Amino acid sequence: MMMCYAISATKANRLYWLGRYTERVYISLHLLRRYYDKMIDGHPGEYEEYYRKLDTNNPYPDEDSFRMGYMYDEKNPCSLLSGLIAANDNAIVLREEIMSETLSYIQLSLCHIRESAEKGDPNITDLQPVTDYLLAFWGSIDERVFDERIRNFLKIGKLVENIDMHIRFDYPFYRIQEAYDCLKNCAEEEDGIFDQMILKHLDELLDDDLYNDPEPDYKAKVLKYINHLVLL
Amino acid sequence: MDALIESRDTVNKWMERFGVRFGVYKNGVFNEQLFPFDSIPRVITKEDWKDLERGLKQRVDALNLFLYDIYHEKNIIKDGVVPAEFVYSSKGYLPECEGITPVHGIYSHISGIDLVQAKDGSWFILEDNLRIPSGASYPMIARTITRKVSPQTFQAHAVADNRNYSELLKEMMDYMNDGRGISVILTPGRYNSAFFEHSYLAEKTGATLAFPGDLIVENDSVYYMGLYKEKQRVGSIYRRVSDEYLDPLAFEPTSLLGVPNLMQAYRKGNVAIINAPGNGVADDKGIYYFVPKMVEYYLHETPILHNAPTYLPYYKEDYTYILDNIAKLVIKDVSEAGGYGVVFGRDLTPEKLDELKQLIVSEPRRWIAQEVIDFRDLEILEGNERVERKADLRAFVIAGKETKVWKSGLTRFSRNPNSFVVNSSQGGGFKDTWVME
Repeated sequence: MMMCYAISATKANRLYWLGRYTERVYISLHLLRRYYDKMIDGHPGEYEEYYRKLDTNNPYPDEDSFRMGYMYDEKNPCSLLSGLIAANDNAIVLREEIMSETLSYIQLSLCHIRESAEKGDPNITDLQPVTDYLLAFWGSIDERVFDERIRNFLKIGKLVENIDMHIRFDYPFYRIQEAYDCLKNCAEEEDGIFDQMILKHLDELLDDDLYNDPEPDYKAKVLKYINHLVLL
Repeated sequence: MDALIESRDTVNKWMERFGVRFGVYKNGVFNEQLFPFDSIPRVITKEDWKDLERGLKQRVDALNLFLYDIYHEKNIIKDGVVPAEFVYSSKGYLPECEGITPVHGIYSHISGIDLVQAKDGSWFILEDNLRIPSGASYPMIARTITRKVSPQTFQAHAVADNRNYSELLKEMMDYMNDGRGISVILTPGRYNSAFFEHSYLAEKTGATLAFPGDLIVENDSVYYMGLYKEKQRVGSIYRRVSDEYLDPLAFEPTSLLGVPNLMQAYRKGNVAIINAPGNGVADDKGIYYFVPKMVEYYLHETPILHNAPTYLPYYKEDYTYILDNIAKLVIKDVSEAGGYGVVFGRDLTPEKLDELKQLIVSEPRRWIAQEVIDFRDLEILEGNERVERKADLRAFVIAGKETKVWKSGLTRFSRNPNSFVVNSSQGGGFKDTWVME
């Protein structure tokens, strides 16, 4: 059978978003653990700050409803459950590219979070298997997917999301710089899907001094650029 | 075997893990469901299989010759074996396919032949599916899982390995492709009931899964379009899109699922379409009656496999028989599929029987009637209890360079103790089919 080297626009788009959603859920789980830890020490309103950083309205009146809602509310597009549903929606149509074994880790994550949602368990430790499955998902990509372009599209999505989330939650600059350098390596391979003008702006803006001593609209500007960088 | 049977829940968990699902639309809402797997396999002996294999090959070879004939010389009509009105009034007959000779002259590359086994062990053909028969992927993945879950079972029993379905498929697709380009599986998309199968078979055959919009036709050749508008020639399309949606310029003009001008490329012989458009004329429930006659007509052989005793109201003698015996017959609407449009006379009130008779009188071509076959029930596990249920077998025949029968099949069963309808869309489950060696 002749090999197919072309990747359709829809497939590239799904790979990109699969990378983004899996990374979003993975980082969100990590952040939630951090915020829940803060809440133990009685920092009221921490959860409100969490939503502020996501630039979205907080639909929950108190900590308890925030915990449950952010984990399991299917109607909330920011919830972990919604993120996994979106990841699965993209993964399920990519089976022949990522292989059934890799897809199974997304399926397992989704099944697990749905079971936890049914139990109504607000304990974040109950979702540790989701973190484990997502790590296994990326491991499986490394293990089973040899097409460089497929890996690249996934990685581009992962890195864009990684940078977006880390900027929102004020991670140290070196973390953003590392991810951005990787993203630029990917851009060399797939330059056709990167907005070169935005790439130039980001090169200028992603600077240690500007990041650590930002102008009022700095963060919003960088987030806007990073989210419009990939033309898929 | 006990270890395998006890592992039913484990196997179903693995199926869930691999996303083995099928979609169902109910009241306009799409839902994905697991296809319930029963771990007690259907077992077919080596001797039984030998006859089945010969009979299935014979039947599919005759059907392929019939399709060629219908879209070319029509000798079978001229010779009075099949009445013209059965062909031309069939919804599956496509005048657009007249005169087209598909690559290698093959029409039905993948045939799903539904059979039932009567209590005396004899097999009857219930229907032929020559358009887009689905279901092979389920026993294939079930076997992959059951061999992992219960290896000792397969060490102890000489069961033909059925995981080669994708190899049979690939071999046939390569033959049809003739080196013209890549092979693709064209899916209508995620919300098709059999999407799992489309994606799984693409993975296992190495074919590219193409979605609506991924394929274009230029200069009467088909291309897969890449992100940067780069084009790669397509040599064969295993399409999982129905005939009517395949090419908006030839068939349903509002279709967004098809490929404009695909029929033009096909007519020129520049692409193989698997299965060929227009096959519906041969798997029409009315034409089914004539398949044994096709075997005699084209192959000059005696049919090895038998149809269920069938009556056509079109023939006066059958018409009278049906009206006199309607209460003991099963009546089928030839235009329906998927277990719909099937009515058992015994389940109807006298008023409803009269209404049905009127329908038969007013539209005799629309109906066929069959004797109710006393199926051999198969055991399934209901909770932890073994109970018997109606079941059929869909055998898969692959026609490429040679006609080959896959040594397995999809055994579907009804979960409802009072029902003969085994279709997954109506709540049925499935079993693995073991062919012994």
